[in-house]
Amino acid sequence: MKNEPSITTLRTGDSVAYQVIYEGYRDAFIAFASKYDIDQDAILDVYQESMIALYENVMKGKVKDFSSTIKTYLFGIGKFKLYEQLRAQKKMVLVDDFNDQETMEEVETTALTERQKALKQHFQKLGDRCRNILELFYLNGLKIKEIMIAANYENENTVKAQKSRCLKQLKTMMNPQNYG
Amino acid sequence: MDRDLLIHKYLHQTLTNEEQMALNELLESDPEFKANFELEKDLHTVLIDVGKESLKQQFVDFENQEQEQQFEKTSPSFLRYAIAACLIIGLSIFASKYFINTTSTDDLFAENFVAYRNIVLPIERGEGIDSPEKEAFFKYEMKEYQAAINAFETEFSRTQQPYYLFYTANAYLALGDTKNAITLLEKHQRFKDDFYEKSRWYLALAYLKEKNQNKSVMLLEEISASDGYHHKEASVLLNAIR
Repeated sequence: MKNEPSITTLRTGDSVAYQVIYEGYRDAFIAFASKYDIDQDAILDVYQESMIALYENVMKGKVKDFSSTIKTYLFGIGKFKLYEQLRAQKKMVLVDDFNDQETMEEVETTALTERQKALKQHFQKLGDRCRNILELFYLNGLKIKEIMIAANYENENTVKAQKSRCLKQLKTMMNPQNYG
Repeated sequence: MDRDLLIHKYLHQTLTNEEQMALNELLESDPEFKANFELEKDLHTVLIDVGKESLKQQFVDFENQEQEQQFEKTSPSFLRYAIAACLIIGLSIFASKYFINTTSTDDLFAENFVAYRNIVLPIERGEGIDSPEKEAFFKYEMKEYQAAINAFETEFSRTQQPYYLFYTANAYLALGDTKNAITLLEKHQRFKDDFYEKSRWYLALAYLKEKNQNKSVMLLEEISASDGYHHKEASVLLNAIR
């Protein structure tokens, strides 16, 4: 891939940018993993899980910048996952192929807590306008003024008031024992 | 300091040391703020999780499409037509080599690009140009693209209206400056305003001109799969690229 997407673009969660990376390095990863006794479906599972880990690490700020390229980082995660799978199946591996793995913390994706699972269910029940404003602010990283312009709000105070109403709705929907 | 901004900066890792201290103090001294902060942190995690699911689905859909294409290539019913198809393809290639000029990405861009019309402040005949906004769009309508770019940039700095990014990018495309157009259109995508879908079409065209076929094809596939702006044109263009 000639031009990898920038970390700034990736931080906004742009699905196109992640797809470009996925397609850009897919064949190279399959070619690497095919040296081992592992079928293509399993390779693709590993590759997809690695992309998801990349997304999560970028969005949670675990990656501030890529020390070399996104490809190196992605393959680091992929190789670790592949190694774990092969080791679990007691298959032979070339140690040299796996000596640039990422740390365990960067490889594993995290599961939601029970409280977060409940919050997710309630979030999905919110109206479009609420879901949109909360996504723009909390996920895509737009500031209040940028949301005002993007979503056609009258002024910044209206955005703040709407966001606050949506959060209040979520709080009310949650079990008061969790958020008293 | 604005509490919303403090939380926003915390979630997107842009707090300064001073702001981090202010946040810590608030968390210690204000239980209500702390409860809200915990909810917002959880919400951030939840939204990333929603994003992970949607990304995973996107990859699965892509692989399914790949498999379908592979299946079509190898299924027995296909084989019956394979020889005839090969002949047709062979003849087409022969014809394209000897009788038709191969369509380049530049040609495809030229066939599809028309600077998007001014719908923000349409200039009526005889009407006075009584504001800097109108003057900017007037220059754009007159195809004085460099002057329009300068005026749009000034207006964007003043008003922060994202449509100026869209129109500036169009003016750059009209002048053949694809790199600047791409930078602006990518920036414009973040705003998801009324020009969002149109901006995607122009971004796909700009990628094509820049010979970044991967990105162009992917955007065109998304546009053609939607009911949005230029979805039919996107399908036609995809066929031409392939």
